[in-house]
Amino acid sequence: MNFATIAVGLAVAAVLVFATYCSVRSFRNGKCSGCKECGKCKRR
Amino acid sequence: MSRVIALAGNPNCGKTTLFNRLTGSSQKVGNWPGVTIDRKEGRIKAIGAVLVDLPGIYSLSPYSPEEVVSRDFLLDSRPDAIINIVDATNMERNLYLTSQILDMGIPTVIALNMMDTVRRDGTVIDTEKLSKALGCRVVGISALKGEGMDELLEAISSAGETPKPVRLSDPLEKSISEISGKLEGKVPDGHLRWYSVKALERDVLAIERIGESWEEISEIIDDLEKAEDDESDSLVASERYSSISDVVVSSVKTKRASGGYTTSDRIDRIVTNRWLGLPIFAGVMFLVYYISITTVGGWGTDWVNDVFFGEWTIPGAAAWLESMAVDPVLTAFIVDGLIAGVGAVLGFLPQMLVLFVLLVILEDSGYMARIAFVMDRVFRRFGLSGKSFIPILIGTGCGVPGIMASRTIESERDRRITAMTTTFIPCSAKLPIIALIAGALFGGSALVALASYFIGVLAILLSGIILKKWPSLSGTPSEFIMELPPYHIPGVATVIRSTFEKGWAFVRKAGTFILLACGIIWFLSAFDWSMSMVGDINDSMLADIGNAITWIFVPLGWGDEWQFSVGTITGLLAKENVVGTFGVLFGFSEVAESGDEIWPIIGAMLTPIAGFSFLAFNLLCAPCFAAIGAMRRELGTWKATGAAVLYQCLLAYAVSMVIFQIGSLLMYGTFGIWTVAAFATVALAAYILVSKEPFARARQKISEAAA
Repeated sequence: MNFATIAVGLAVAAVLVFATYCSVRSFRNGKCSGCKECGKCKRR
Repeated sequence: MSRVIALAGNPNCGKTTLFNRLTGSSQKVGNWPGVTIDRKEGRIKAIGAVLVDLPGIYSLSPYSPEEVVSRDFLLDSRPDAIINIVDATNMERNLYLTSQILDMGIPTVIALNMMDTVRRDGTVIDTEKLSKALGCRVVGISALKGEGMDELLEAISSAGETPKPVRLSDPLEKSISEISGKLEGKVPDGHLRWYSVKALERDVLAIERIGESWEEISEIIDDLEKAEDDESDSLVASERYSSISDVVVSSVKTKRASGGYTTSDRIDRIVTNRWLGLPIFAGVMFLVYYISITTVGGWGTDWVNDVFFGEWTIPGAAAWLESMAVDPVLTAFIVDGLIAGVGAVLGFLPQMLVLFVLLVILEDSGYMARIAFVMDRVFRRFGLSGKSFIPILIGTGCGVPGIMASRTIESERDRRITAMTTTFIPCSAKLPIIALIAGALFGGSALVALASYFIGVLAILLSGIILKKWPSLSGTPSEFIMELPPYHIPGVATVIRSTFEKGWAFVRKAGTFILLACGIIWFLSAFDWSMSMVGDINDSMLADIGNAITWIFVPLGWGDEWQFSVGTITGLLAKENVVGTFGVLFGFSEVAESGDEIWPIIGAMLTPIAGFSFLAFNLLCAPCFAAIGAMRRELGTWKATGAAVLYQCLLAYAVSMVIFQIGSLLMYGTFGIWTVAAFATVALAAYILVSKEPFARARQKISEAAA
């Protein structure tokens, strides 16, 4: 396995972890789709 | 601690526009009543205060859940001040709420909105006189154009005086005074006048809070009603309107002779016409879909698919990874999985943006509010009211706020039916499926999108009849009273902001959740159970999973190909996944290399009727998880939510089977056992629709259980 594969693999893994985090947060935040139409996204 | 300012007013008087203006937020605004269904908070940086935007209310005697939100906030949280926004083009009705707010004894500033329209009509409003008559500061503003904001902020900063309540006639004031005597010490001091007047009106929620004292108070009201020979709530309302009328007469000078037709009136005579209203609406929606799918949006999508992804992104990424000598499996995962899946979904972004622009223009101009009025006549025949159309309208963007908007419906039964059926209307996430089927099987015809929209409306109407016959959901439809806002040219900023936010939400979802799903789909489609990479996708884990469930969809015409079953199942997580899955499974990444496109591959696998059946199933079956979560919140229990999802899936299955089986019989003369089942389904549906008591046994069981 060469360096490029490791570097690209880590970058893809980081992107997927971030995507998982965003998806889980979106669903936990009132199971919302993040469309912002109801105002919940910006309610403090 | 920051001061808390509440923003209260009638529905559709510009509260959210003012909220956005003062706080710099970009909350959803719309030219119809009921856009705000929950309170929202923002900070007014200029004066260091927190502004709370409340759902619109006509009075402080609420009927629907979102109106309760407003009243409870004003009563229980007792803000430091209230900005009461008043539509200056319709003062009498708006000041009715003002007269009740002033009873609460909270420092109030009246923001007289839409002053630009008032000036244009030649009307002159003397804000000084109005201020003196109402006993609080009145500031003329235009929230849309940002006029009068500095004066309003100055007025809010200095608001501290308790306003004087609107004085009613002597007999009423005497009764209020007596009631106040009974309530002293039992309700918060600041709200004594408000509770006394509400008790006099026999307001149910106020009586609940008053508790034991009600018996004695009731006698005071009985005496007043005998003496005045009228019901107390009518007396109070009449007195309020009389006072308001005096205030308006003294401070407003109208130029236009009453009784003349405005431009809005003239347009309404055509678009809300009994016979022309619906055909015009169908024509408008056809035009919307024609522009967004076939022409402008279609050109954009072709460019994104063929050039952006086909010529640039996919070959570029593949070549770059190859030049770096990245492992071929990882390259395939990135190119064939992540980029192909997300690319297949993002390819539809131009069509969606054009659709969003057109829908925002229709909403903001005031036309869609008219459609709620036109639809009321239709919906009422099917057991629902025009109020159910507002959630549908919102649901064309996203089903989640659409379901939440069902809170504006007073009747709990209608509210539940609306929450269960709103997602039948194609949301933006379903547009890629519509565009895919239209492009692959119907030459990109906009009629497919129009048919999808009206299949959704028809499913809602038929469900209205069916569910209204179910014992726990029966009842007469809610009354529908809706003020038709005047037409106006949509603000460019509103259109751009709303379109950008919807488009950005779509891109964000594609870049997170859909990306993740595409990664998993690629993995399952590239490996077998022994974790060896497969040469033929039909040997993969995903093929095995698909083949295990695909028999379910055989009667619907697309069960022979497991890819469609897998697409439908992944669509339950998010509807965009259907197209993302196809992007991975049908090799969206190979477009550039082979010149072959995803559409002809799908076109070769399905007949047009099977394709339309697939589309109908995905439009009507259970929505995405986010929408199911929203349904759970509105329906209250998982049991009711489960029943709703089951109903949606059964209806989708029945409709798709009927489309495919009867369509195949008519088009190709195909007849079999499932054709009989389709006719039996039609007969059963007809029986339920026509019969007065199709669920008599269920009603009996419920009655027995209750007894």
